[in-house]
Amino acid sequence: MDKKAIFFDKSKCVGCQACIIACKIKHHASPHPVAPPEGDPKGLSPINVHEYGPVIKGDRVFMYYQPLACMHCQDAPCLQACPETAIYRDEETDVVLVDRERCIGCKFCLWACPYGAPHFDDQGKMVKCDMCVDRLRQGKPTACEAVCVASAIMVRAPEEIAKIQAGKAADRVMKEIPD
Amino acid sequence: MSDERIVKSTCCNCHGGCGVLITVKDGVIKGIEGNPQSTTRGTMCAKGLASIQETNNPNRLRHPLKRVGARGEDKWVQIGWDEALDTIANRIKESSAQFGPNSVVTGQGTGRGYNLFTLRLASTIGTGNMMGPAHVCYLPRLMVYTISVGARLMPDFHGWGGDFPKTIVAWGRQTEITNSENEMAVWFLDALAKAKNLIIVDPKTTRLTSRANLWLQLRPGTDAALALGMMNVIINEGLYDKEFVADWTHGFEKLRDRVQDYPPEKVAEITWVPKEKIIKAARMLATDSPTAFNVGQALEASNNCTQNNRAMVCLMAITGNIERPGSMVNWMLTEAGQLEDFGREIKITPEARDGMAGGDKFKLGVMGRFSNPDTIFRKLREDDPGRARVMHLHGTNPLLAYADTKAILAGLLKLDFLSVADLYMSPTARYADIVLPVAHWLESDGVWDEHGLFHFSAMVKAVEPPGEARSTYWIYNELGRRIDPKYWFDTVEQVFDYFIRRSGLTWEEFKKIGFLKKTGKEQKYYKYKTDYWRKGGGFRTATGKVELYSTTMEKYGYDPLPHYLEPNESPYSTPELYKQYPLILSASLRTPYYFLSQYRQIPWLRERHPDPTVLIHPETAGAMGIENEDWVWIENQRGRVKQKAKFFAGLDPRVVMAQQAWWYPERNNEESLLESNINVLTTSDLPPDPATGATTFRALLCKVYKVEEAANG
Amino acid sequence: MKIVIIGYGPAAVRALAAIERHVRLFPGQRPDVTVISAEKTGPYSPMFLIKFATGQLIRDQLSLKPEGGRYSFPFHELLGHPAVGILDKEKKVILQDGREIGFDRLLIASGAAPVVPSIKGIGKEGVFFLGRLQDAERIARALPQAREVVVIGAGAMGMEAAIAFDRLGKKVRVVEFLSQLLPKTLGAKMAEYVQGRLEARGMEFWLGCAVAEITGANKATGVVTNCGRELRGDMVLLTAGVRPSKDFVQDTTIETNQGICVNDRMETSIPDIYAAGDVAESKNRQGFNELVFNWYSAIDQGWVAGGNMMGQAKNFLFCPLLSALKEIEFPVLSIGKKGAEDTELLSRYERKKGIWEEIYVRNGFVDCYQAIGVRDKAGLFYTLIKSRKKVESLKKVLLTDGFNATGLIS
Repeated sequence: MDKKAIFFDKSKCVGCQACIIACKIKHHASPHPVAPPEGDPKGLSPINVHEYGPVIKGDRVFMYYQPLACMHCQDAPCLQACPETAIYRDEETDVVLVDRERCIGCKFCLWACPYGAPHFDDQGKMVKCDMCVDRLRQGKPTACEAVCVASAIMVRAPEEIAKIQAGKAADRVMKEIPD
Repeated sequence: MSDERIVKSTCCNCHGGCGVLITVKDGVIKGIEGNPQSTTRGTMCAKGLASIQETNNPNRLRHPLKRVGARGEDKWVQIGWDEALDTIANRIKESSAQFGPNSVVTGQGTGRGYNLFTLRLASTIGTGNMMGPAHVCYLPRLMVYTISVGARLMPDFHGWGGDFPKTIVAWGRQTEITNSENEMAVWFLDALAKAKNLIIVDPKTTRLTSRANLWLQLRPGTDAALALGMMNVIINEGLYDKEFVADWTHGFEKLRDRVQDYPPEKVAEITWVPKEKIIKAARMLATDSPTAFNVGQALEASNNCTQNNRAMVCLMAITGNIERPGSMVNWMLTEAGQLEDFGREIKITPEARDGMAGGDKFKLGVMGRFSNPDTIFRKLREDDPGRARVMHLHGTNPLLAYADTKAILAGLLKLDFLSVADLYMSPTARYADIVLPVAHWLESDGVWDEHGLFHFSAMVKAVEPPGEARSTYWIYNELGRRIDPKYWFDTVEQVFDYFIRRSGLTWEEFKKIGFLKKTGKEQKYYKYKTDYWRKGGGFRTATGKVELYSTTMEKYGYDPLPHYLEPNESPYSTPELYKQYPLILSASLRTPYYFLSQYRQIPWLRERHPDPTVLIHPETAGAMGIENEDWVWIENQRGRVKQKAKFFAGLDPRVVMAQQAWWYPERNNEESLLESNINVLTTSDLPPDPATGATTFRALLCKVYKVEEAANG
Repeated sequence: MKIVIIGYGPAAVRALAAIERHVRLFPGQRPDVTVISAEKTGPYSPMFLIKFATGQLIRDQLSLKPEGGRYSFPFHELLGHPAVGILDKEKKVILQDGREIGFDRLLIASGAAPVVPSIKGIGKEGVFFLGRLQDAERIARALPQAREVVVIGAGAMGMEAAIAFDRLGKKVRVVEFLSQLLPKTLGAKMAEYVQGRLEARGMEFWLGCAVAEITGANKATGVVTNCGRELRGDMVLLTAGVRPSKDFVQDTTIETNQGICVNDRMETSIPDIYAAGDVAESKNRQGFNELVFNWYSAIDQGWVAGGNMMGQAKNFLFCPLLSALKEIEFPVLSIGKKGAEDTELLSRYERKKGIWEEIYVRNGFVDCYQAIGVRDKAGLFYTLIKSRKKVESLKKVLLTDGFNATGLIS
């Protein structure tokens, strides 16, 4: 099984948030939502969609939706930050996973993660995107990737993702944000 | 060893019908995902996925109920199905006998695959009064296509003819997140990825506007003017498809004359779209073809509904974008054939035809067999002798969907008998005499025919419904049998067998296959060049051509050419009113999580969007001291409702857009019905569209101000 | 090569992990490692002592374990043997029992210990500090009998303890010398807000008060402040700050200030001697010395020190201070420190969402981020502040809900 990386394409996302619901189904496998942590109205969603805009500048409209789950970073700050060594890397797929038995819900991973990927369930344990590692092992797409009408989520081998990302340079992203 | 299986079915949470795979374990649904083998390739939306929270939802109706106490008191006693169905059937028969069949109204809401059952039931009863929101929803487009082109047109996002659209025009439509109406988001977005140009016509930015080549931010209600202005440019600059126009259209010269009344300067003033953009858009869609027009319901919720759509058809036709690959195409049907026959084969009687509410006025409206809801409720309010006495509703909320909620309620209360079939105790069901619990699509077998006609699929039951809830199809069959058994069947399976008989398959066989489709090379383009519609070629219209000048409209006494009509209430038509109510209100804002009044009680959807929202420009709000997420009153001379303001820069500061059909399942009563439901502000008293009876939902006037909190916490 | 590590906290454990990683890549370079710890307990997470004392964690969860559960190379542990001196020229560490442990390279990771202010009555029973595991054990034993607790010091540690005690149903009175709670890490207005919310739960705050005396005969019954107010408490917890535990280097020539000074390779002024963690004083991004008592800083420093002792040339990127109160319904987060002059404040206050953010920007960098009610942007701002990413062009979006890290982190 190949190593996998994930790419969330905001140039394609239409903010329908089907990925959020698909992820909840996959992770909770229950018709009822896991109780949301401390007053967070959106509930527990390992994947989130950030909305920006619309901002109108003359004739240009800036609006995008950025889906974001976990980037499964190579040098994962969450993994390094965990005092209980509860976060680890799956050898086969390179996916970053969490051992719920060891997790004490201290949130040190949350503050280390630039993407806000860790979430905490009603038992205080960390839950985050696991890149549907069980589906990956069956050769299936992740739940979010499968359901996306806009083809905005891609799970591929890391080299492929790197190529796609190079094609959508971060600089171009920065240029798009108006002063 | 636990029993886990995968059921292949079709989602029914909107018109779309995405293919789904349902994981069921020990009789409980564990997962819902899209079916990668279906035409929608495994994609879905938030609504369909969240239906996993509908089967066990505590708000579900579980037993047939009979009212005790006053109507709307919400006091019920549980009864058995036989008593419920017998009562409804008997009331229908008695009313029919005493006041004539037209005194019975069968009604439904937005299509969910059983339109033809409602029609068949109405025909069984012999009433001309099948009621639905059709006058503002899809029927106008359908009728306009029928009379102009002889066949319904869809944008070709599939490329089966070898070409994808080069230009896509999204006109008042957000297929990427809402109402598929036979065109699915995934096909649309795939085609968009291949298109060169995207032109968006919408008073607000959509999720695709940042990618559009052109965004025409038009004033709500001015669509016809814009289309006519574009045609002015296209015709006067000679950019039209000369061959198609010459060989296949009727009335071009008359259209040419008409569009001279709409030069870009004038259209710019009417629509608030800069002249240069109008010209640029017109040139782009005419020359960078094939062009597909994705036209939305927005054009129909207007007093100029018919002409809005007539203008669109003319625009399609003069640019040669009919039946050409990558343009507007009429899809050929599957082997199951013309499924509409299930509803239409029982001929409408002259008595029924004459008794259609609004039939005397709204000739196009009644062509689709739907009578006019506003007329039905007005007759009730006014004690008109020809009014409805008995109403049976299935999956509809007139109190939320139709204009002027208070007027609808007044009419509803005057009915002799009201029965409502629904999954939940809806605001309308609260006023019923009998309520029937309906099973969800996850809990039902069924035939799903809302797709683009090239596709037709099976709905397969995955789990048992809660309590005694039964499927829509079973309910219709049981009612039908009691009224006139000759049109109905012994079992639901037989119903389905009959429904799909032309395919040569039985229901059991069809269920196993899951779908029928006609795609790829099986679809033919340029059908008008063959004998498909007419021997020797042509379209199935009176003249055999695409009627730019509509002989049918002329026959019925309507303007045979498209024209622009100012909305009933606007800065220009009612300047005095505008002084008091200085904002243009569009009362139909959509979200990806709800479908009109549906899904407020689904936790995973409600948490995405907990409150009714009105979009307002930050400058407009700032001038009134309104902060983002403040609760505000939206008010006009007919009343006021409260919604949460959301700052939105993608709107003209003079326009606000309020969400439609809001109610609060957690406190379902008369007070909350009137709290945030924007239809408190709409009306059916002002002139509707003359041909379809369409009411205005998208261009009204209002004022907005902050809700002052009584005691600040 | 002989490596000696003084200390067995987060920095020391991460140094071991760095050595372990090096050894896995270069098995021939395995050093001889000795860890010297004043405590007998083995390595544990000192930042969890309150959680342990209040029963939120069990002893096993307090231990710092190696990745994978065990180390792949053996090393010596000298537990319960405090270091009392260093002979830097002879490269020896002197233990309390007189033994001398030789080293080729030394890592001082002895941490920091509570400041013991001179308050009358501080030796009474019922007065607690929170420096070591045994302090936490004492607190845990005394808590069931305590009904009212006085917490001296409203810094991050004091506040965490106060809230934890409050959650256990104790009546908590917090006394703080400065004029607000969290005086070093939170802006005055935010502190006022947090105080109000906590007072609404029944906690008491006595600000701008110094404690004159701890009352009681043999056992503490409370405190008296310097303005004469009496505050009852059958337990008194002193959190008056910590200071680096470096006394044992005083006879060496190691450059010290408040802590042991290090460069960004974790080297002290003496070659082959490194320092990491709470005991180390490094230079912040402005070039000034700064002490940071913080898990992230300790593990980063330990990792760098460990790698550099094995001959690598890693650099440490200064970790901004991060303090968080999260056991309350509106998380309070503070990252970095406000600069003095030329600081622009971008703030966002959305009452309905319960969000209050203040971002301090200076010369195009984010220096400090303080927020109430924000959960998922903490790591984003931590990374922005630490990596010194220029935010000039981002100022408009910093405060929006949609601001996220994609496109910023390469």
